[in-house]
Amino acid sequence: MALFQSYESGGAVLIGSYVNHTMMQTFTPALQHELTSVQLYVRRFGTITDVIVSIYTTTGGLPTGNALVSKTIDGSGWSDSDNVWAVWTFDTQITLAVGTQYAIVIEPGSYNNSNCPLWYYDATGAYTGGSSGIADPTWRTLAYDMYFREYGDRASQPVDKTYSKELIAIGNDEVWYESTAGTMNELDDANGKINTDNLLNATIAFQKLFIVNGTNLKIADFANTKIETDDIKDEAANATSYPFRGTVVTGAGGAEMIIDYITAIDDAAVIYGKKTNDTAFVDGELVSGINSDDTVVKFDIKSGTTETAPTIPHWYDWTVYGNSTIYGAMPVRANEVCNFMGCLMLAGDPNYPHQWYMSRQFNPFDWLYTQDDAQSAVAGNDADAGEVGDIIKVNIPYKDDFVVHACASTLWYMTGHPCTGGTIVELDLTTGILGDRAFCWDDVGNLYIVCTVGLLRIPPGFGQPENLTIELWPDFITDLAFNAASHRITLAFNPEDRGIHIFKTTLADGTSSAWWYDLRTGGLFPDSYSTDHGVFSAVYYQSEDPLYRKLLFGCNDGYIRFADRTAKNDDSTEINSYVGFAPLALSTHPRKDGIIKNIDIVSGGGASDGTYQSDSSNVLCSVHVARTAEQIIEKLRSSTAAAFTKTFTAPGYQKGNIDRRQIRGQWGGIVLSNNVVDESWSMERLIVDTKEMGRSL
Amino acid sequence: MDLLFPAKGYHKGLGAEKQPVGTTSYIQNMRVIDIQDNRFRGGQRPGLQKAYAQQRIGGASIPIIWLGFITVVD
Repeated sequence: MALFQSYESGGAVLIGSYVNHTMMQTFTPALQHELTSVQLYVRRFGTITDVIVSIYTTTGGLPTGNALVSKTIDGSGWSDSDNVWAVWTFDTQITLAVGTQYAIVIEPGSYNNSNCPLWYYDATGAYTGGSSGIADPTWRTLAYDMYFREYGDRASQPVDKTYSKELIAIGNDEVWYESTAGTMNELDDANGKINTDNLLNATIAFQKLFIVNGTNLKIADFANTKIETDDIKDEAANATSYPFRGTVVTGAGGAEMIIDYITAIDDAAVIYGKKTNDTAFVDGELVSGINSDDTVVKFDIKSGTTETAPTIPHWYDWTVYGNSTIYGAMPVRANEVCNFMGCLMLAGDPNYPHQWYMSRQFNPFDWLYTQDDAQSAVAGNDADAGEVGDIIKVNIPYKDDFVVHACASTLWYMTGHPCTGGTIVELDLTTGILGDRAFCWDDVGNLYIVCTVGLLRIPPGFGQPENLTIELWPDFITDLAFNAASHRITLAFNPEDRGIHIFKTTLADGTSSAWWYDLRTGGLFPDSYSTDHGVFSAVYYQSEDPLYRKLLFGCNDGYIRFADRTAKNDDSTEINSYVGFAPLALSTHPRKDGIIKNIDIVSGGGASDGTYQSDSSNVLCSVHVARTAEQIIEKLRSSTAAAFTKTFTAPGYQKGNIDRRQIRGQWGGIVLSNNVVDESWSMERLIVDTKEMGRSL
Repeated sequence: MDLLFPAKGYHKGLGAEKQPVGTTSYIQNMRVIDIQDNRFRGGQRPGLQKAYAQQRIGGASIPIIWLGFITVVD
C-alpha cells in the first residue's frame, strides 16, 4: 500500500461536517491505482459515533451520483481537543483513474453544529489536484484544502514473471506437486501407478516429469491440454493421416493446439498438446490440420468430452509417439533417466545393464534408433560409441557437453551426441559409484561422487579426480560400511552454505550417518540425525517464493525438511553437538607431565539479551587427561567420564567463569558441548593454561 | 593455549600425537559458520525443520524417495 495523493500543510482551522453543512475534498490521481483507504485529520465536537466517509466521482469539481465506496468508523473515541489521523479502510477496492477528479466526503449523518466531526483545513488552498467544498445544502467549492491522505495499490504493474515453479515429491507410491507456494497436493491419478519399493528415478524436461520405475514408465504433464477422439484419423472426413508431433490443429470454433503426444495413430486416441489460444475445444467439434508432409488431419472431439487443461497435471504412460513402432521402441524397463542435450537418456534395464538409450533430441517420444541424422534416437549397441562394459548405476549429465556413465566399478563419460561423433572415454577404471544418488555438482562445475575409494572431486573438463577423504579419513569407506542392498547414499550441494551434504541412510528404517563437507575449509564434519530425519532425497529448490527457496530434504517420515538457521532443534529434538580439542600435549618432554588449569571460554554473543549480537547458549566443558594421546581419543569416543566438568555461562566472556581446577597428565582433551533442547551455541575461543611438571606419574 | 574452533573438521589420518592444526578427531553436529551470527568461528549446526509442515507426502511415515521441481509456463 502506498500513499498516492495527500495534502497536509498550512492548516490552522477546523470545520464541521453535518446536515446541510457537508464537507468534501476533491483530489486527482497522477497514477492509476486501487484505493484502499483514506486518512483525514479530524477531531470530535460534542458527541459523535459513526462517521461515514464516501468517495464520489465529480462533475465540475463537485461530487455527483452515488458513492463509489463508503466506510463507517467509530469516532466516539476521537479527542475533542487534538486532531488525529483517522483511517477509513474500504472493504472493497475501487480503481482510480489517472487525471480523473474524485471527492472525499464526510457524510453528514444526523449530526448538527453542536455534535459533529471536525475536519482540519488550510485556508490558503495550495493543493493543485482539487479543492474543498461544502453542501449547504447544494454543493459548491471553497478556496480551502482539507487535510487528507489517500492510500492504495497500483492497479496495474509491469509483469516480469511468465512461469511458475512447482516442487514435486514422490513417496508411498504417490506423486505430490506444489499447487501454490507452500501447499503440496497429491496427483491422484498417479496413486498406486508407481512402486516406490522399487528403484525409481525421475527427471524434468519439456515441462513434464518423466518417471522410470522398472516397467512403470510414466509422465506427469504440467503443460499440455488433453482432448480425446474416437478416431484420430477420420477418413470419412477426408483425413489422410494422424497428426504428427508439432502439427498445429484447429477446432471448428477456433481453438488451436500444437500436438505433442497422441496415444494412438488410428481409432480412439487421447491427444496432448499446447494450447495457443483461449478458445476451448468442445464436444463433437471437428478438428483439422496439415502435417509437415502435407497430409490432412481430421478428427472429432469425442462425444461428451471437452478439453482438460493441465490445472492438475495429466498422468499417462510414457510410450513412443502414438504407441506405434513407426517411432521405434522404448526399453521395457528402466531405472535411470536423465536429460542430456535435450535427449531423454535411459538406463538400468536389468536385462541390458550395460546399455544406454537416448531419445531423439527434443522429442521424448521418438525412440527409432535406425534414423541416420544428427538428432536421431540412439542406443549403445547402435552407435560407434558403444555400450559401457560395466553396469550403469546412473548417468550424470553435465550441461550439454558430457554425460558421465557412473558404473558399479568404473567411471566413463560420453562427449557430445553419439550421432555426431560422440565417444565414450574412461574417466577412472579403478573405482565405481556407490549409488545412483551418490553424486552432486557444485556451482563452479566440480562433480562430487562417493565411490568405492572415498569422496571424489572431479574438476570441470574431467581433470584428474581428487580423493577428498583419503588423507582426512583413510578409513572413510570402511567405516562407512555401505551396503547397496540396505543403504542409500545421497549427496546434495548447498549453495547457501557452500558445502556438500553426504547422507548414508538405511533403507529399512531411516537410520542415517551424515557428513557435511565444507568447501570453504575443505573440512569434513560428521552429523547425526534421528531416524525420522533420515534423508532419502534432496533438491535445492529454486522457488520463486523466497520462503521455500532452499535446500530441501525428503525424509524417512514423509516430511520435507530444510536446515533452518534459526532452529536450535531438529523439529523439537535437541541437537547433540560437540567438539573436542584433543589430544593436547601438556608437556614438551615425552617423559614429563603437565597440568591443565584456568580454563575459560569466550562463547558467541555480545551481552545477554543484547540488541546486535545473537547469543550463544551455555557450553558444557569436559576435561580429560591421560598418559598417551590415543588414550585421550579412546576416552572421548567411549564417553568415559571426564575428570571434571563445568558449564560455562554464555554469552561472550563472563567474569567469574574461569575454572581454576587443576589436573595432571601428559596429554589432555577438552570437549565443549551442548545437548539441551532449544539451545544452540557458538564459540570464539577456548583459553587454557598449562604448566609443565615433573616426570610422568 | 588459545584454542580456536577446528575449522578443518574431522581428521584421523595421522598419529594421535600428530593431530593436524585446525582439525579434531572428535566432533559432531558442528559447523564452521555459526548459525547465530553467521561468523566463521564454530558453532552448532542448524536444526532440521519441516518446510511443508501440514503435508506428509504419502500421508504416512514412508520415505520421500525423490524430490525435484519443475518450471511451467503460466
